[in-house]
Amino acid sequence: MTDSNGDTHPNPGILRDTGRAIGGALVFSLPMLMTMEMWQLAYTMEAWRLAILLAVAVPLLVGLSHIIGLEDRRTIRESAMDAFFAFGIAAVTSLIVLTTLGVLAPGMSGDEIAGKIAIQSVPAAIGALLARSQLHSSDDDALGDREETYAGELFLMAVGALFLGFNLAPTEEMILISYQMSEWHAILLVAISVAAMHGFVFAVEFKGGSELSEDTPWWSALLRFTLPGYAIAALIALFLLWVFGRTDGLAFEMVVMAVVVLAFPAAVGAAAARLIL
Amino acid sequence: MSEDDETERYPVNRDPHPVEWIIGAASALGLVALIGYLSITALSETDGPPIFETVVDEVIAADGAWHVGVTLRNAGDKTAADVTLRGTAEGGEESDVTFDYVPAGSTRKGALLFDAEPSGLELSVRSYTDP
Repeated sequence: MTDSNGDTHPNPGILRDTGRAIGGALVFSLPMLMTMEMWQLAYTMEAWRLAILLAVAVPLLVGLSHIIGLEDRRTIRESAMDAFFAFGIAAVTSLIVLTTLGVLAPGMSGDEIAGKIAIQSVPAAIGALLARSQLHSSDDDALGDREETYAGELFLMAVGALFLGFNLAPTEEMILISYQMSEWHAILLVAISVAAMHGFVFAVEFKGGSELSEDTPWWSALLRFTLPGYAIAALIALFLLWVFGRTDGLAFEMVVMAVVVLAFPAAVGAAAARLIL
Repeated sequence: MSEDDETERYPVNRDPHPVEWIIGAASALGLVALIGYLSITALSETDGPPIFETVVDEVIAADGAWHVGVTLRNAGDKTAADVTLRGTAEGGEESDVTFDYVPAGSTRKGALLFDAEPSGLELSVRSYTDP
């Protein structure tokens, strides 16, 4: 990253980037760092599921880093470096915060401590990466000029769905809500989720939303963007519920209900990601 | 980016690639299937109470106690919460376990502990609440 001439900070560069990354990690992961279920996952979740979660998270972070890091100006290798830098910052930030809060204490097994940090590192790393695009000063804002592609849009929706889904998937409420709802509630929630997604991006003209040109009918945008977005959100919801062991022993029908419940915030996250990024 | 049309910078306004329609159609199909499935399940559901089925999975002697691993299945269409399962051995010894949730059609596992070998064990669900 090059500094523009307007930067008068005495210690720019790596220190500033680290500071931003820590800030982003904190903003995006504090709700999860202070959630009991997230700590408990460290010992209720099988190690191999955690490994799969991390295996999915790494390419996702590299891709995110590539897109928000102005892909045409850098190589995949630089993006990967950035992603791992964010992951490292996220892990250290989680370690410090969890230790300060007394969640990590001497006497806990290495597995438990590693698990607690690893789970928190995923959302915190997303935050650390986003800090680059969102918390920066306006002089290096080139993000608005980014060339948007169809695949890129779908990818960003996946990141947004994963992030907001991550906030909620570990909580007991996701499952409890699905028990309280009837199938009719679920159908209504699907409709609301799709409507919210479509409205967020195309209808209410938020800053960063996509303006439909006169040649593009609303149904074309719905079919090509909103419905795939919802499908991505639902698949990510299913993945998160499975990774966190929420689907174990659950009947197919109840899994579908839980997916619909979690797909609601995931869909909103997906839509928001298209606005923000 | 097109110079003459500002809205061209959004992929939604460009000429759609065929793949976009295929992905869109597949997603629409998935959504229709999801809503269809939910509707059919809703219509075929009965209004009865939860129906519990219990199975003894294993009996292990460890640390001076007998562990009886049990599986509780809810065969009904209604989810039950705080389900109390009681095991009574022939000798009269009783042991209880409470399951937070036993969703409709789903199974949950737990264990009952006994001091003596629990021969002739009888399992029965004593209570539950609506979630």
